[in-house]
Amino acid sequence: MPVYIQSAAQISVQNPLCDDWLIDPIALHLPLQRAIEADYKRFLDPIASRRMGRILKRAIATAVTVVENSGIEQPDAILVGTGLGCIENTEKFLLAMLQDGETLLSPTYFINSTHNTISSHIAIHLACHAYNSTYVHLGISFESALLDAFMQFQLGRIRSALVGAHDEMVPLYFSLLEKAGFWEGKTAAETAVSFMLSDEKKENSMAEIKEVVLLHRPSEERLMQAIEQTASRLGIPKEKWIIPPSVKPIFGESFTNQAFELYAAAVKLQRGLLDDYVLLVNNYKGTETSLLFLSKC
Amino acid sequence: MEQLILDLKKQIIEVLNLEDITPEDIDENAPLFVEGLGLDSIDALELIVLMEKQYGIKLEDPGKSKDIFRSIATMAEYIQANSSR
Amino acid sequence: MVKVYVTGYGIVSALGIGAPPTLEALRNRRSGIGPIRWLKTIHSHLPCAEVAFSTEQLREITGIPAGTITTRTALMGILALKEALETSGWSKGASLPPVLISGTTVGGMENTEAFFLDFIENNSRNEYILAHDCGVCTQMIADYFGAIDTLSTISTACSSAANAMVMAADMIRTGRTSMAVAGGSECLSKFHLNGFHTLRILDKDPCRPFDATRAGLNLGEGAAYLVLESEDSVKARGATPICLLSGYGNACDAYHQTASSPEGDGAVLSMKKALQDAALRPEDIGYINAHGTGTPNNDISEGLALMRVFGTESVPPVSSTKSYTGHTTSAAGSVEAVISILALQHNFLPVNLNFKHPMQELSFCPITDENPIRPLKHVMTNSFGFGGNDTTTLFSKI
Repeated sequence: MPVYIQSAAQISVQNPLCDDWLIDPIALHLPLQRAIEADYKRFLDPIASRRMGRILKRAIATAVTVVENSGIEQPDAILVGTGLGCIENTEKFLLAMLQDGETLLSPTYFINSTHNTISSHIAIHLACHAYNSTYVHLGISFESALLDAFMQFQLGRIRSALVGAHDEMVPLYFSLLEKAGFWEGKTAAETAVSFMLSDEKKENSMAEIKEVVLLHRPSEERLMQAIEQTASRLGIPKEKWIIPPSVKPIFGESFTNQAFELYAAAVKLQRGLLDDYVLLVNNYKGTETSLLFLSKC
Repeated sequence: MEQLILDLKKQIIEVLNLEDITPEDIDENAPLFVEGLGLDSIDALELIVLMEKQYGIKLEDPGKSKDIFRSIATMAEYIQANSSR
Repeated sequence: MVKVYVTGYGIVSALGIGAPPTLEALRNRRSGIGPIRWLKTIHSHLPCAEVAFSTEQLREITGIPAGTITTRTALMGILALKEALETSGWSKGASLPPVLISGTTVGGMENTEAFFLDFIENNSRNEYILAHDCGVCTQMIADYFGAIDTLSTISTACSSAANAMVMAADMIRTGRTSMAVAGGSECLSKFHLNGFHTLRILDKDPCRPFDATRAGLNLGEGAAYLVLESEDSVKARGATPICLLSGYGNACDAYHQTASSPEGDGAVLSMKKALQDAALRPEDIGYINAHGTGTPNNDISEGLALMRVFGTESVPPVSSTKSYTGHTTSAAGSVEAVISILALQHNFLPVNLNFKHPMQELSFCPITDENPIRPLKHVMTNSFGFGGNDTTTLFSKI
């Protein structure tokens, strides 16, 4: 069963919910660049969003945008990948607990700290009872969610899926990760990308997802073998799969920034700016690797 | 009482993060839950925390707090009668 | 449809390390819930179901040297995974199942909450900063054993482990692997104990699921993993399958961030999807291990959902074994899957502890007699998470 990207939307360090970055990208600044927020009033009334942190507002805004653009109001699955989840609320609850003691803590910070609150907020917003899950596996959290969606299509359980990648970065947690040597001199950024996938090829379809592979601590040999096996199973020789230049210099780094690679590749495939077969390789600190095989529609 | 009601409105706007709502927008006699402001069970828990933090009033059972949290006016009355501060 | 066999299981909870003490406790109606021993908290009046060993003792049992960074969640996970592999016929040196999918939510929070102020104020504990993430726990568990080809981590709050089993089974069904290990692990943390406390859903007495006087849940901790295998793999290895993971369903209640919908819409959907997936009728189910947290909201919502799926007068025997293990949160899905499989294997109904007063709203009472009327063939287990992440799994005799 083919799986097409019907629509994609992002909120990031670049102008939100548009493709301005393609022509005129905003320059990144070290060490941390926060996202440019969209106008959330268009998506949420103040009462509905009263408990939502920025990560949740971004998730709703990108999700609603791909729903609107694809015309698929009720996706058959909602899947989210997030490395750290709602770290801002986690941090607030933790600090209050450690500094003020274990009394009179705010329930809001706690309920907003769980990773799956993102996908469930999207479900509540869309009144969508479909399959719903959240992946939290470091640098391949997003690709894990994508793999799950891909399998649901393969098993014939769904015909559409809303897949998102959401990570926020706040100054305190940024500085802690910096202490631990996490950023390695790269620009820390925030990620909010939603994709609407479906099995139907349409005029506006952006790209086709051919396969998703996750590998833990693969040797060079194992990685090559996985690429070769997948390429041959897809019937396209290894040499034809082109690895495009990374868009990290445009979108910065987060646990889920591979979603930007997929997003940018889809935008470029749709506009004929890339060759027909694209391979996206994500090597997260030598421990987790993902392979995304895409093609033009 | 008027001052207490105004304080309460400001505190509620802050703890419930009601962006874009000003004290003047809230009718102290309007219901806080479901209708009116449209608050829910989590907000009720936040209001319980607020009552203890700001006014030293301990409310153990959220179920029994319903009458107190009917409106800002009922909250203010309860605070005036029970506050230790 | 490709069949998914269960060929091994492992479990760690307040009932003990391993399936034998778990079975013994269930059959003797011995609960693991009691006063807090290990967790440092001011809420020491709240009963919990802690694993009987300190983190240092667990470290010794697993043989992980002092100084190596680890977490209680990872240590419990390692012990449960070890038992799962061993019961599946794996021995040290043999090749490992190529896939591990694990569910957790607090991840390395136990260390983060101990050292967070150190992280901020000085540089004495920096090595723990990167051990916070959920995925690191999965890596620690996997890397203890060695070459596992694919890892992932799921966090859907209290249904995390159930969804991990679903993902792993789908990887078998789509032919991505012939063998996988899946489940979850979660230790108690001050963070989530306080979090649940802010929601005022922790009972200061031992929990009473499906009782009219129920007043909340008790937190527990634990880990459990299942070895899942395709038929071809079972045959090729000459393994002895224990049962089938015959079906599963995942749906979203889409009602509220923490509360379940009044009539359990998401729960109805997840149970119906699971029955459909397994091609079973409601009357085929001989035992239901309910999510049954013991909160006023969950038990009425889930109870009404059971009546909707099975019919008011024909709800099969139901119990919540959270009255033994406490609510093991992210691990609950696999902990209760192993308990359900034990019930299936040994043909008994785990008794719902602390039940005295029937809920007026429900047409059924939870299990008080461990003897099933008919031999168990199919058992169901529910796991529901905050945000309405509802998942149901079904296990069947072969």
